[in-house]
Amino acid sequence: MNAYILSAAKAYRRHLQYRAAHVVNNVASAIFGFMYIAIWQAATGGTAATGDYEATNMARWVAFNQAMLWAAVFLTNGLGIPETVRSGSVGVDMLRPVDYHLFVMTRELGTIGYNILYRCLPLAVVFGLVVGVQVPEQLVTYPLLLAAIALAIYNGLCLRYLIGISSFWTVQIRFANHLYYTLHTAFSGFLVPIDLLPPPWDTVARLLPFAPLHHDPARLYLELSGAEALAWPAGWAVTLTVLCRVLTNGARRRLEVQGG
Amino acid sequence: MIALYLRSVQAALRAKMQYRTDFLTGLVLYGVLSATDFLMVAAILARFSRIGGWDVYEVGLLYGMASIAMGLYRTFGAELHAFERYLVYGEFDALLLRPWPTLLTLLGRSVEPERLGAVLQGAVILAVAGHRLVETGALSPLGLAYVAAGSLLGTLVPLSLSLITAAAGFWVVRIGDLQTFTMYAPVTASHYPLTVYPRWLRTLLTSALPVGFINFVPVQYLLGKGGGAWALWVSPLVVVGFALLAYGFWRLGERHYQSTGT
Amino acid sequence: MTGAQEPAAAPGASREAASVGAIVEAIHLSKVFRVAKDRPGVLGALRGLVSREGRDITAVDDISFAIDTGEFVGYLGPNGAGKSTTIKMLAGILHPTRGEVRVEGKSPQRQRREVVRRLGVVFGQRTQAWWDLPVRDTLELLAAMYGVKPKEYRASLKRFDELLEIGAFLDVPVRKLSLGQRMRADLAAAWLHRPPVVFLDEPTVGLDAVAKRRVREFLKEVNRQEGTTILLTTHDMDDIEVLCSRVMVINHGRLVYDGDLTGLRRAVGAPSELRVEFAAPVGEPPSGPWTLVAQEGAAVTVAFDRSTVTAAEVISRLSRCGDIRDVYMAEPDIERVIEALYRQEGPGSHHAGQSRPPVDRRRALG
Repeated sequence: MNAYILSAAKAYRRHLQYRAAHVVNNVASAIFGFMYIAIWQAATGGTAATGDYEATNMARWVAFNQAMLWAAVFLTNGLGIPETVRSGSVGVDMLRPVDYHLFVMTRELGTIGYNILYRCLPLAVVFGLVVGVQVPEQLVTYPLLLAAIALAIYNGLCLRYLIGISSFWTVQIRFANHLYYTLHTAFSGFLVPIDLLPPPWDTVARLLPFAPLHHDPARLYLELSGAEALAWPAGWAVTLTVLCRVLTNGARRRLEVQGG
Repeated sequence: MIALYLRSVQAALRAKMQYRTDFLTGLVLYGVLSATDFLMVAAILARFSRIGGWDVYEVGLLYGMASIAMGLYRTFGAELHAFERYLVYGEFDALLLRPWPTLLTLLGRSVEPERLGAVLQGAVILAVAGHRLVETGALSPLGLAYVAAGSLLGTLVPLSLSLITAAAGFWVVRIGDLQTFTMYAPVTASHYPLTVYPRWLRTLLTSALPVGFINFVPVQYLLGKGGGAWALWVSPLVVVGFALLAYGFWRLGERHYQSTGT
Repeated sequence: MTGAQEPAAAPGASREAASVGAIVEAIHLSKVFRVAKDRPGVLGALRGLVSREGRDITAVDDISFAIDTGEFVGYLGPNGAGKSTTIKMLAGILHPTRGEVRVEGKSPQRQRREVVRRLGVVFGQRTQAWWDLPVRDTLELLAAMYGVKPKEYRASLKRFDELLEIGAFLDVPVRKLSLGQRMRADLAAAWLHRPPVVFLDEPTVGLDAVAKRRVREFLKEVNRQEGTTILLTTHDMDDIEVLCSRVMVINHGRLVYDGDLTGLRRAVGAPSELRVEFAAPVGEPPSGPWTLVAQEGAAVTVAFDRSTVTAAEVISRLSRCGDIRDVYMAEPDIERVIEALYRQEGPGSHHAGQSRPPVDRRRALG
């Protein structure tokens, strides 16, 4: 257990060195958020309040998801696996007496912890001051929201892990990352709520594992959904875990056969 | 000097073409992928029909111009975009050992022709939107020609932004994230009419991060949505002036590097 | 500066800075790095952005030397002693905090492009070639960059093939080359424009014995034939012994020795070894101004300090033990000499501001 925590702590401390650069990033990240909010206001401004997604809700939707990006989406590309595959040090990593899949994911938790403290929270404060914070009316929303965020992070980690582990079979991991971001843009609902997408786009988006990263937790946050919004993310968490395990075993076999 | 740059680019292209399938995959992928970005804009417009008084064709014009400018930058500025590596691993030293301006040596070291997929996609959107706007009489054919030329010159804006960010790296070293944001936030912002943004943001996008001069400032006038004829000649001047400024900052950073050896 | 020239004459007193005829000069060269203080907390990070407070580290401390045309100089020092910083200043990559550099009379800082056009630089650990392109392409590009005429280019290529046998892998992409082949390609690239001065930073690091020998042969050849002035840093003492007519040693940012190898050995007082073979096995040799290193049957090896006793005296005193059949002299291993020199310098502080014994070995020993 110790090894997992230690590697996470090390990742966290590594990031601490670059705090100064990150302050600048946060400003840019906030600007991104304000931009999207402005676009939504310009789009919805003319029309009367459109149900769930009227102007105030949309502003908070954008703000919430802007902060979520740093917790669940902007992780290390491939969780750092591709580099170790290229350098061959992955063989050593896999030989260690720890579970490789778990080890790589917990190591990234250090990055996520750092991001939450130094990016999500400052962003939340800035957005909160400008567009207001949604204070849940029902107490049950708090644990549900926490669960949704945890699932978003877990699913985000698994997706990144899958990209990373695929570097055992392909060298063009760059494309995979790009593809990931684009699928995320199109299907996560972080900018445009999935319910507003034209069919059949919305149906596809609801089925893919990107909605659990943004759309589902955001709906919970705004109390537009209840506990049922956790079902699909939880289902994906199980599915992705199985996929990760299968591919990890495949990678291990490949390593044993080819020696890296 | 230009001849040498072209020679370098030629060599870099040859290196790229060692992986021909990757090039083709990339070309298609980048085209499709950046089309997805436009789909998001289109999705909003499908629901609300106008953003700040601009319809989907008008926004398409903005989007196409920005896409071409950005795509060309990503194609030929690939090495500048990846500049953090030079600072982290001390590879910048090697550039100082060549009897050429460091920027020229740097840019000539690699290209990413697959990024032309995004340029192509931008061109298609520009063509479709432009055709429609000319047809409805909202845009003159001459105006469309200006838009096409402006897209190419606009490449200088992301290039300059990247150059400034890279130069900032001489002080802060880690610029990967910073670069993404000083480039992508403003370039994404330029996909929409600047009038939708709050005043401070609009000011920012027409001053320190002057992406507004790639497309919005001249297009606003060409579509009769405001501004004056001055926009047509001021825009290219600002773009070129900004590039010169960026290069000056790069030289400053280079000198700082030489005196501190970051 | 063309044609075969004898390596410059004896080292020593003539090596004052700014001497006439020097091709590379360092004049009271110093480099102070400022290391920013890492402050805790977000506020600290913010402050760190604006203030430039920190502690100073003197990497190079008032170094002066002059290298004459055609010299082959070894530049030694432990890791972090300031070797790379010096080379970077000589090549114009870094600007000195104080002092000046002159290459062919020009400042690589003020006239960077003019100076680097006349320089060749090889960093052993990283290649400057295009990774995915054949060696030939890199050479052609460099030829264009340095304005090498097609005729000269072809002549150079032929010569490099003779000396480095690069012809065998000219059309192989650099990423597929072995380390030794890559170094040969890098050497060819560095010499392509026939620079009068070349700086080499650990050119033999990581190479196998055969590759090392080939690199050394090439360096010897171009130094002798073309009179290329070469400054070489290395950790491989064989490089120094085989190649360098002059050695400069830097430690803690200061030049602690500048002279030839013999002088270095003498300066350090490292023991020379003498192996004496007697006609018949002898008993315990008498004690004298030496230490017994080994005794096997009729052979006795002793170590002695040349600065206190001569070899002749040692031999004559040992001959009292019996008839000497043969005598072998072994000079101290250069590696041990250098080690001894670093030790003499002691682990003094390398932080500026703190006191350090102002030992100027150059004057004291050279």
